[in-house]
Amino acid sequence: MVKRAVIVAGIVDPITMISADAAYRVAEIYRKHGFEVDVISGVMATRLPLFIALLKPASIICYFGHAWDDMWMGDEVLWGLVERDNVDWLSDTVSVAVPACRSLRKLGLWAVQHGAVSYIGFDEDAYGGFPETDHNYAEDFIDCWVQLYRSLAIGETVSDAVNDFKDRCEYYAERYKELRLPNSDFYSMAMMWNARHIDVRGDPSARIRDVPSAFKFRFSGLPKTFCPVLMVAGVAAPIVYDYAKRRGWI
Amino acid sequence: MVKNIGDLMFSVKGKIVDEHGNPLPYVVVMINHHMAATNENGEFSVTVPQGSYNVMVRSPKYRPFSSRIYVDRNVDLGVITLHRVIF
Repeated sequence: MVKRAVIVAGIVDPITMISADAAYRVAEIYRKHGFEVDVISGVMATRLPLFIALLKPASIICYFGHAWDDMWMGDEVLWGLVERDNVDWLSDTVSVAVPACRSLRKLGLWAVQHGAVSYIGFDEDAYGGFPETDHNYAEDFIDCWVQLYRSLAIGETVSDAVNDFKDRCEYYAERYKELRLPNSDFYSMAMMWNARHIDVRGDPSARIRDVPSAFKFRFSGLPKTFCPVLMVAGVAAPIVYDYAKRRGWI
Repeated sequence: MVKNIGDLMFSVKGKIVDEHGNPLPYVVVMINHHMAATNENGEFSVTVPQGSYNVMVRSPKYRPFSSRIYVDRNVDLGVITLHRVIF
């Protein structure tokens, strides 16, 4: 039995570069706590690498990036990284989509219905911060997100970890009110917003648990997962055939 | 010699777009206590007297923009790109 974390970070714009920074820090924390860690980031944040990573069961799946009510977007172009057809990839895990917008509205519910132990996410848009000239707000937002994952790593329950996150957000929101910097009112609102809109589906008393280090094949979502491979193969096959024919190999 | 107060008023204009270059309508632009909103094309124009000003651009879901300018003639701030601050 092992503890295993799969960390996924889509990188498509400036705000997701900041969340990816948090993802790498979370990966380090989990490694220090003895987890096996797989990080899938940037252009790799697509279905096939996630499918391969989940051939071994995961204790926790951490998603950083853009999302919508019914999907994690990752760096997928044609469809979502995780959506209704492959939501059971999250089964038997604590799944966390922080920071990611709105995924608790539908995807979180479906995940729990398809066997996820619990799902942490936002029921509204999730705000991030940027390094501004008056203050490095990005660092504070990263601190809040990392706090949530750290609490889970040390064995806290899902609901306690969420409360730690809320406390951290509220601390920064209050601090920004006192700072009275040009952008601090905006970011104070954003911190409070995040604290109000994070929530849990499934078992709030769940903790990250050990999983067997066995092979687990998932049949759901295969058409969309392997479609890009088939498309590349479809384009490459006539070229390879033509080349082989000219060489006299066939 | 100044003939009327209009001689001392200058326009500050610009255009607000998102990171894909799409114009952002109804974005609030504050130049000290002078306030305007962008039109359908993301453009704004505010008339202010000569002086030093803080320009602040605010829209929910977008990174706040702020800059300090000195106005002693008509000023074109050009295209201001706002990045999404939500996921």
